[in-house]
Amino acid sequence: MKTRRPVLHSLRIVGVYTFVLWCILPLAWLVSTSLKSDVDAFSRVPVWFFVPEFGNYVTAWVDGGMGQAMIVSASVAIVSSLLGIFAGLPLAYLTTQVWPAEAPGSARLTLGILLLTTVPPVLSLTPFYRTFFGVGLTGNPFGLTIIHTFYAILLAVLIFRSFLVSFPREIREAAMIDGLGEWGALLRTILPNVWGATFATFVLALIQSWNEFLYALVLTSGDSQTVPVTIAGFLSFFGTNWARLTAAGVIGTLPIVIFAIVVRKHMARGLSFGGVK
Amino acid sequence: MSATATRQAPVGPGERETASYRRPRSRQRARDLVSRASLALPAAIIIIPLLLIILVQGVQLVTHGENLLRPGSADRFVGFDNFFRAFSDPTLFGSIRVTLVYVFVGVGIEMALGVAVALALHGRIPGKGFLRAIILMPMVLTPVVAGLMWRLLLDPTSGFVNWFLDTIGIGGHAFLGDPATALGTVILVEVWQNTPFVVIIVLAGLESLDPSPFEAAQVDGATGFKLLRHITLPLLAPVLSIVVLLRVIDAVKTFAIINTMTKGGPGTSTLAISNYVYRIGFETFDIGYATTVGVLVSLAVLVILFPAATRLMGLRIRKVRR
Repeated sequence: MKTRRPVLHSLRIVGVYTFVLWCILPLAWLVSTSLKSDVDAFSRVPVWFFVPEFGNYVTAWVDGGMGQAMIVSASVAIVSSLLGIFAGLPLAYLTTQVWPAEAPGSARLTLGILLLTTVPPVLSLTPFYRTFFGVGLTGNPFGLTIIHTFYAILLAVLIFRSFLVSFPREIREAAMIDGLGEWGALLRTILPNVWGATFATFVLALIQSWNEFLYALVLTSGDSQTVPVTIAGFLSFFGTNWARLTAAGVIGTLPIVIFAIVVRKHMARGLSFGGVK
Repeated sequence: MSATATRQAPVGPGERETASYRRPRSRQRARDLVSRASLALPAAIIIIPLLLIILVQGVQLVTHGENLLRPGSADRFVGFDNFFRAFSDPTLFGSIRVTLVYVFVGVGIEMALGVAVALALHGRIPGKGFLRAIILMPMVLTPVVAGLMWRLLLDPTSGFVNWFLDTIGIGGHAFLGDPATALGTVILVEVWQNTPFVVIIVLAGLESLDPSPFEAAQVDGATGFKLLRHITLPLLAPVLSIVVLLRVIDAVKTFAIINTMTKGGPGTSTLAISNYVYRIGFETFDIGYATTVGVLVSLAVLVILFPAATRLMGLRIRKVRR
């Protein structure tokens, strides 16, 4: 909105910057605590000036198992996001290009996906745990990868659908007349046009998997714990050692926060499932 | 899901005309069917077994009094006892109340604040690109870390917030230790973490609005709040409703923030539904009853949210024109 009144304009700027400070100051406190000594971190009166120590990071990485947790989290997140795209894109293609998006079969399938997205995970927590425990899929990253792939598929279908729903169906039909099969048409005519959506899906699925806590807490243990589970474990494991805990928090979130900022241009549309064009 | 897919494939409109003038009709159709089914196959391989697990294990669990600590309890058939227990469980009703307050107050504040910030950010602001990058940070921060970070800030002895309140003379308070303030504090963290989501999507929505209604209204002399109320907000309504929906769906599932900040306490004052189910299932290991609560809550959520979700996502099963 264009404002020509200078007072209102400066109020706007003050408001925006206050909000940004509210977003960033807690994070700044997190980072600064992670660089303090144990004593300073526990101090009653905040210690403003201190010599940064990186010992907490070493302890968190080595003794706290953050190094191992990062490997597990990264593997689970990358594998499940890629599988989610691989399974979600053809389904979205089926429901928007092969069948018109408003065909009953297509609408039913998408409603099913939306239903599974809406349902809270507590419905499936105990059934999955009981089954996975029975077949040896708990205590290692495999069971968790299956669950995260499931959620990545739901995300991928909804995002790809929002991009493909307005994509002209004639292009696929032309490809079919040229003798390409469904998969050929998908890979050669559709995929080159939805790289943006593919990337957005990958980013969002990756963040979703990296941050997921409930299933990770139940399905992994010991060496297979993901980053959030390991960080939460610091609370009891080291007593409440804020310096180490915050160091682990910074290690565990830095990659994903930086990644998200770098690729932020691709995110807004994916985030709202096409609610914003 | 794939069952629907294969059943629907031959009657899908659109290819009826194209297929008819190709050579051997039945063989062509069979090939179409197979290639279409193969599109749904990768998703079906993951989704269908998981749905079967939910169904089969779900039925088994809700009708049995299984407790992981008591061997043999898996075979104890209890009929509908789990459901009767749920309907007379005051903690369950308490946690439904906590979840409702969390969702309504949390999402309400997120929307009001988020839309205000998005409106303020829309237009010329020094350092806009940088500000947008910063705003993203709380949103992508792991909720477990967000919870722990705020616990550190709110720590009664060494936390920054209490020191600050002491210093300016208001006096500190054990915000998370007092049942009267714990829920409000947890909601504050929910708001801190998720308002940026509202800002980012509403801002993208504002930027994609057609400028001509604004120009027309300005020619007619509308400015400031009039413009906002009569032009901007109505045009933004579809975006706003999707944002509300996505926030509500997500907030109902809240678990990590509460689990790391209070574990549902003190008492049950911040015990949201997910935390309650986790507590029953994996702290007292009463997984038969935990599943029952999960089923009841999920049904309630679906009944309330699903119709709105289908409408807002533009997905209604329309009558086919024949």
